[in-house]
Amino acid sequence: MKALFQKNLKITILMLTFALVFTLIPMNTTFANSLENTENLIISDKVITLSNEEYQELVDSLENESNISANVDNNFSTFATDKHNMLNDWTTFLGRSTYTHTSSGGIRQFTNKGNRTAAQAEFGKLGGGGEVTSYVSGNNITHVKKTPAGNVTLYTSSSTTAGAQRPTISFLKDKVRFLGD
Amino acid sequence: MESEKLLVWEPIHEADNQFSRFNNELLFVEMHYQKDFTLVFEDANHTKKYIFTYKQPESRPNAVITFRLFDETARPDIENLISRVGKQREEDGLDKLTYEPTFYKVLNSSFLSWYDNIFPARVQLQPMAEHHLYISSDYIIDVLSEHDPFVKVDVQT
Repeated sequence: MKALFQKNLKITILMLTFALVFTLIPMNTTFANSLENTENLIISDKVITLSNEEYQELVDSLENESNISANVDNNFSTFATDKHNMLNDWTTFLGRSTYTHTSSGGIRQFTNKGNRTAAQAEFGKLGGGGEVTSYVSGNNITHVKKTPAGNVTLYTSSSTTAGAQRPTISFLKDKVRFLGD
Repeated sequence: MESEKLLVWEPIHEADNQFSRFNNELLFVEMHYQKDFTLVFEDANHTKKYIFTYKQPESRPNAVITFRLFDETARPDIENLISRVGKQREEDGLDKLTYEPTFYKVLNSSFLSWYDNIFPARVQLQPMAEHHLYISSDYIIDVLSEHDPFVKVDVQT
């Protein structure tokens, strides 16, 4: 009886000891940054304060970018229209001339009954008012007009009897000779 | 130095020469240079081929001295010379032209002078050099040579 009591007493003391140990010594290995306790953090934009001048400068630069973009769009549209107009003008002009042949190099040759004055007038109309540069060589002048569809040239060929009275207008792979006097 | 001037040249027999600048243009088709120097032209209807051959001389290595090729609308210097041809012929008592020539020889040639500036020995080595001018629909071709080309006319079938 006494042995049984002592045995139970030992077991009780042992259990109490374990209880005391688990109470005093933390067994929880959970740390403050464990996965269960984390969440996504969104860091808000940093708020800065601009002076009036800095604000105006920012607004102006944004407006300029917007205007440049709009101008580019407008300029491209105008360019495409002008190129189309020049090609139309040229086709119309060829309609007033007579096709003669195409050379082995693929150059189409036309003749026109107009004279030197008519050639100058036609050259002036082609592609509207483009930038014209004139190149003088002795008694001969070559005019070059810059158009969105390419350069148009008014060159003066000569006749042995009529002198410098055979102007030629060239554009792309076409040439039109004026044979009128 | 006397001023440069054009002399009408008729390398094609009159019966075969149908060409007139502006009205019946000479079409430049081909150029070959292998021993002989050859220029090939056609009429606008492609009915005949005109083959100009500068033969390589037996005692010389080169068929021609040199040549150059320009776009037909890039020779205002030649146009200035052409415009004087009619009046010069009249002064020389020659017949008035009834067509616009496509072949000339150039007297007092600036092209030959340019060559001589580079290679003065030409005067002794090739003293008989001439300047031949071909005016085709698309190109103006200058040839410096001591002799005329042989011309063959081939009828195209």
